[in-house]
Amino acid sequence: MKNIYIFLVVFVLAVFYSCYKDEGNYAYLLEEQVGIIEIDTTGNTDRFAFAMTYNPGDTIRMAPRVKYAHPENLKYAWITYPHPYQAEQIGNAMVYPKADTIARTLEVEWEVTHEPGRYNSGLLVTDTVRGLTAQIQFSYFTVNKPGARAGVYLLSEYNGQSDIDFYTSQLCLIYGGDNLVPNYYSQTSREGMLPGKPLFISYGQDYYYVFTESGGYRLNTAGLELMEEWNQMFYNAPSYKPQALNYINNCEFLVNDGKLHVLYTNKTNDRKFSAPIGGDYSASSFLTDRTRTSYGAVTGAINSDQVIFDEKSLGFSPYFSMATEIGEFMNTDPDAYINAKRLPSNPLAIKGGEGGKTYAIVENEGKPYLYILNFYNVIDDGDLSGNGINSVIDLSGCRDIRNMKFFEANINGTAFFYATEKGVYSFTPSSGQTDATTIYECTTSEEVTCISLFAGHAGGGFPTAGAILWIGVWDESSKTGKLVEFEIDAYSGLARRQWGAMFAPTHSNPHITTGFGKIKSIATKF
Amino acid sequence: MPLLLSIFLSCQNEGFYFQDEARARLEGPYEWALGTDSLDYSFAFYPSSVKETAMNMTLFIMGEATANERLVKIEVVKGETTASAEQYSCPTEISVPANAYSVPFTVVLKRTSDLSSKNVRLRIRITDSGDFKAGVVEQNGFTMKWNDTLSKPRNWDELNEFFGAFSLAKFRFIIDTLGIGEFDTNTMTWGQLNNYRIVMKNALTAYNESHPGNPLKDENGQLVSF
Repeated sequence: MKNIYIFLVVFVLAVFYSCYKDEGNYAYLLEEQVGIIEIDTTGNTDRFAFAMTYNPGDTIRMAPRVKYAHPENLKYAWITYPHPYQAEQIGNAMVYPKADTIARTLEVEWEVTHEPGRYNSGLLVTDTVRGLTAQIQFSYFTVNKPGARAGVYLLSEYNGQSDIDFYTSQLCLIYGGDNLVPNYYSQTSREGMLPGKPLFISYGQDYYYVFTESGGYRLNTAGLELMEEWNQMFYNAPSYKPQALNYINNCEFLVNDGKLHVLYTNKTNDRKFSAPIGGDYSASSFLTDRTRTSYGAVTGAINSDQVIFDEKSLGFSPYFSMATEIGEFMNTDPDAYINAKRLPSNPLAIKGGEGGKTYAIVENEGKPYLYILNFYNVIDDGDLSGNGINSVIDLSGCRDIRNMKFFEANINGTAFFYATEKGVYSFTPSSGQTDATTIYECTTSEEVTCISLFAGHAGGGFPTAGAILWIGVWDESSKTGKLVEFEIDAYSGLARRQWGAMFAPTHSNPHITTGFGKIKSIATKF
Repeated sequence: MPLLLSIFLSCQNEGFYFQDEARARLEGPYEWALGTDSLDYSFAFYPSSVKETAMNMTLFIMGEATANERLVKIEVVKGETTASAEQYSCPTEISVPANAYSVPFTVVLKRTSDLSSKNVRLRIRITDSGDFKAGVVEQNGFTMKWNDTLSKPRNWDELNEFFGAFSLAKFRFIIDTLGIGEFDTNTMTWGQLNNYRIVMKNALTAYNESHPGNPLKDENGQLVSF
């Protein structure tokens, strides 16, 4: 009886087992029966994605194809490791550093977070059932150092300290897209913000110069690392009162406390500015960015390395190459429209203008005027008026121009732009207009803190150089800064969409980017 | 036996003379004397405001130190000295403290106007003080020669770009303004030398403005310029 029960139990179990559906297990099949894993990038436009150069924050995308009989059993691992791949000493052993796994999907979309350097990369594909693997390796990709990044560097105030925000726009074709990295300097340098409220930022031959109310700093382009502070930038540092800095004609020019200092970069130097250039003068914050040209140069043209405005004599003065003193222009012809050596008053603003000319906003007998002068590629014959009979333009109709805080003009067009705390306006001497055009008006809680024209002076930036106006706006109620970007016509000074449809189709005009500090000064790097 | 005695006698330690009598010797400052018994010095490459310089000498005793203070005497060798008493100061006695093996002392060389056209020399030596006699001949005395004669640096051709044509008055003005008298184009950058040029231009302007009607001229009566 007992044996019968045992037999019945076994029988039932056997029935259940025989009914169990054999799903099949290919683990025991031969490779010829399963096939190999094939990874293919042929024809992909992204097949070189891991052989290019990137900046931190960029995204690498690649979507290879995998051919295999059982793709459902595959797992993926995208890895990177240093290039060249070398063993490191850890204790007494030489150990190869572990690779980083940056993604585990077939398609990768990875934000670059690696430190600057070079990295090999590859994709590993594994059959989780059979253990079969395949891999593909790519040539190395490069992560740039932060300061070498081409873009717009905005010196901004954060709670009484200074930092550099980084920005690019699709409209600046050369930069290749929109990007914003607030606090770029403090994040990159890991030194914290710079003490003091911002004064201005400038780009020299190959350094950034940042001046705050507390100090001056020279930062390299490699990682925005501090190269020198103010006292180290001179053989004998003067008292700290920086006004302006630019780089032209192989020389970095600095105006400090009314005196010009020079650093010729095409000569052996110690990265130190000279003693003040001699002469009885008090330089304003104007430095020209055009003095001479090698293309179509006029024979006998003024051959100065720089031109300053002397607030003592109320006139412009040349600085000739490697001189020890400020020079002088020829005595002005009595028939000249403008006496470049003696203006009626200290200008409200001076900037380089259209075609290398110089625009000065000058009050004469209580009325504001645009004085157009020319020191660029012209002979000094005693008349440095820049526009003949139209060298002096009445600006009485320009709203609030006497109260302007900021002024911009550029080599690419006749229009100039000025801003009070509450608005930004434009004017062009070529249209015959008598009043200014309103470009932007602030809300009650807003104030304009800075204006700048893209590639307005340095050259480069084709094709939108001079066609982009940036306005830094600070909202006191929300304690936030924004950048208002207008595409403008450099000749009419009006907001006009010309390249935006092609380069920045997602932008409106203006295009507004929030998330900044209080923007005080802008420098562009190509 | 005689052979053994002779061996012992030959090995007897003969005393050296300085173990019998205390003696002293002199050494000059190494940066000027370079281990020799003399030095040469010129005031010419120092600003005019420098009127004297101190040479740091060292007196060494030869023999053992003692538990009591002793005295060394120093004399000026008149036959070998052309400097006048106004042109130097030198101690005539040096006190050697108890347990001391060396004593520093100073000889001051002075800049007088006649030195612009001539050299002078001073020779000092140790004399018998009762406590000490002169030591090794090579170091029992020391000679100092000095002048204030300015001359054109050998590398002035390389400095022409920055300072222009040479003149003694200009060079003296450069030294007085910058505080240095040597300009090595192998170690100084163009920027540094150009900076000196700008400084000199500013200094000359300030000088001429403070001397109206009497601008700086050189020894040939020509205006100094940079």
